[in-house]
Amino acid sequence: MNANEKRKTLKEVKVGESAVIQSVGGSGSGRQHLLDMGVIPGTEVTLVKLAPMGDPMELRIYDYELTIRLADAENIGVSEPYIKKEEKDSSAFRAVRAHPGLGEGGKYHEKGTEPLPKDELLTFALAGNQNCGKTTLFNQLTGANCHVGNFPGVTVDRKSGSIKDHPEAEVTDLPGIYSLSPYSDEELVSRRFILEEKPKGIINIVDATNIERNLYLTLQLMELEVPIVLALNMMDEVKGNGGSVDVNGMEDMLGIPVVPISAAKNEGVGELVNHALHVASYQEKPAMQDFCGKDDHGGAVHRCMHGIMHLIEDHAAAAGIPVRFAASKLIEGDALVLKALCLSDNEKEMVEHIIVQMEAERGLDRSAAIADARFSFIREICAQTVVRPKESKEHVRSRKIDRVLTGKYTAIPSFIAIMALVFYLTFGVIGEGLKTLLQMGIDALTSVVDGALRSWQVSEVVHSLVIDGIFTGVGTILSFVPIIVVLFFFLSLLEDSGYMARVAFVMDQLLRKIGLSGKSIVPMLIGFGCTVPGVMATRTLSSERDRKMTVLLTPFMSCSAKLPIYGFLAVAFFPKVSWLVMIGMYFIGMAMGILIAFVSKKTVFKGEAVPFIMELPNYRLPGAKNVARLLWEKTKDFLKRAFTVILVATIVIWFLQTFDFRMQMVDSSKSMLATIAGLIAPLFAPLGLGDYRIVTALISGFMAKESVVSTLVVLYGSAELMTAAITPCAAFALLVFCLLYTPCVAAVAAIRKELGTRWMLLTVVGQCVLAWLAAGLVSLVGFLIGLL
Amino acid sequence: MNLPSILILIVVGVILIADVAYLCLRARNQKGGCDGCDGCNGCNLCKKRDKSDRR
Repeated sequence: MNANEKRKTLKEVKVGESAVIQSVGGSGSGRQHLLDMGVIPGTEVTLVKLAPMGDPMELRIYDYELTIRLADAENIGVSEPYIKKEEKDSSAFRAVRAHPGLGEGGKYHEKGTEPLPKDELLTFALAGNQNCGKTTLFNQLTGANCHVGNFPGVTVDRKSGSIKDHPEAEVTDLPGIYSLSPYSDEELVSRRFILEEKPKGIINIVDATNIERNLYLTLQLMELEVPIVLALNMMDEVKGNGGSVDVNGMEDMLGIPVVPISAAKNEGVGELVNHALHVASYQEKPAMQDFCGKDDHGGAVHRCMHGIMHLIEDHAAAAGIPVRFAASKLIEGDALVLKALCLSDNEKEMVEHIIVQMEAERGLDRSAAIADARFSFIREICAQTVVRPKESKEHVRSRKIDRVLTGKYTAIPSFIAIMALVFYLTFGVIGEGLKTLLQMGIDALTSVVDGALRSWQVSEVVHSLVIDGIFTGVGTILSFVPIIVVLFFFLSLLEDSGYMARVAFVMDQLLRKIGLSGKSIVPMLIGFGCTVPGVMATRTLSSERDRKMTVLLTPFMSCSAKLPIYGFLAVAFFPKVSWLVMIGMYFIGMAMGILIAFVSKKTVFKGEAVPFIMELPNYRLPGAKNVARLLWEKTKDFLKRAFTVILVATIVIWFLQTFDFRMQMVDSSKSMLATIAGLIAPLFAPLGLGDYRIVTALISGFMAKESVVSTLVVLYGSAELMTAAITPCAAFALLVFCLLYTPCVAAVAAIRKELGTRWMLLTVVGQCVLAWLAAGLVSLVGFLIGLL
Repeated sequence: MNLPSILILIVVGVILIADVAYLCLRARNQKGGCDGCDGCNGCNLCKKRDKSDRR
């Protein structure tokens, strides 16, 4: 490039054009994340498309799709792509290599080397990039049923389990990470686990369809000096598309055992376990770590790395940090490692001089130079051992689908249409049909039991307990099982297929207007199913500010437990437009969430959302087993709730509303419940909800939202009696109150765990006040137009 | 109160006690680090998680 020529930025590249990265600007975690994802000088990128609202952009780099915002793209200098030299057929210079046999019986053990004692627990860390199949492999290894999704960052915390048939071995599934930089919580959790808990081995799972970027983490894991086995996942996809990997060659070059597997099909997993057990029990550490070549760009990085390694050797040993890892992190400017090493000022100065000299010689800043050295080594490995597959059919399919689902004019209509279809099918067709069927079954069973109790002449109290209490309360809730399961079915389809990631890409620009990033949409969509996993899913957000805001907004996305309330009240009071009322509730919740976001953006959460750097996975057909397992879990979960918390609540409420304080069976208006709830009822009188039965139902809803309906049915006796007791306007105010008031106790516990007690109390009190105001507004409007 | 009434009361009583015991146990697990997702998928988070990881 001519020195006087104005250098282009990535932002100026046109859709469909390719360019070569020349410089990566910016600072902090965003920049480091870009470097870790392979956005380094010398790499070719292609601009695939811009999001429908013009921002962010989708890039193709190293055989995968990456999204970044235009503001970040502006910091990346690019030049025209090189004219490619004719690439050699990599298979031409691949000599047939003998299998090095790393991780196999006895080859590398000197006589007398003993394995770890048989009774010693072999602990493994399962590490890999996001969305490379870790949890699928974890499930295969342990026989567990952890949820698997097709969205980067489904695993938000680590979990452990024993390897099947090997009780002496335990594997811990770590969150998906791209590097061991200390910039995100996931990376810190993973790195701390390996450094502090010292697992006996690491199983590093790598997506073989995107091998370059995945090996970047492998090189860092190798620096930790822990025995490691590389699992090349999705090899079936690579082979199916004409690619292959010279496993022997890769094993030879990396110095660690390499095992091709397909976690989804359970192929090669047995061999992987054998190798892992072997390297762990013999403590076979990686045979090589020196990826910084002497001849790579004059060897500047090599000399810098080794110079610092010699300098800090004693400090690293004292701190218990592998010296090469410590040196590379020092060069990258890792403050945590610097602190742990306790270097003297003189040593710090020497380290800085060495790094500055390297920067001058290499012509790149420290972080970029290290990333470039790693990627150079990876390119070398791939050139010698990987035959690239032609474009996979999964990728071709994804491109075709994305033409519509992320197309400029079709993305948002598609999103609205998909969500409308999901809700229509859930409430209108499948769910409602199944619900009616189940309701008929429950009614039939109730009348059989009622007949039996009468024929046995059981006492009036016991009859009332069984029929008016248990059957009415629990039966009403059970009839909603189909609707809730169908809603979860569609939400899991959206997540497993890979569509959620696209929604994040499409909605980023819109969400940024309310101070959030596109990634926040995913926890919120999950919140439509249940607030608890929605709140937990916010852990994938790297910024504390975004996370707090998203946690606070998630309860406004009406969860499936509130469905019975809408279903019951909407059908009872607004039979002709019940579906409209139900969908309206969802929109009111979302509108309220947006309003709160706007207010908090201007007050509590000032500032901008973090960079939106995310991988777009290929669309995949969700596995029937995975979906079936999820549905069964949700059904089981719901049944468990119905027969535990709701049953207990129903019986307690039946008891309180059947007896007075002298334990005499009385009319419900003179019962204990009427007396207790009557104390709080005046607070709700301005909303037209001053009836003690409604107040009781709302209190029971704190335990589980479904309880609101069972309590109302038990207290009023039937929907007809309830419609006679309160006006439609008051019923609508009740619906709004139920939508907005405090989340249930499980969600409150999740919020407390994520944000602490202060934010939890703020959510509980704040949402109650907001619900009261909104319901008051409904009552006021109703009063003004004469409905009350 | 006749025999069927007493038998039904005993059954309901036993279920109630079992439910309350389960709910108490779950509450204790939540205190110990369980996510309280109420849909135990065998992740054993409540038993395995190192508290230092928690935010």
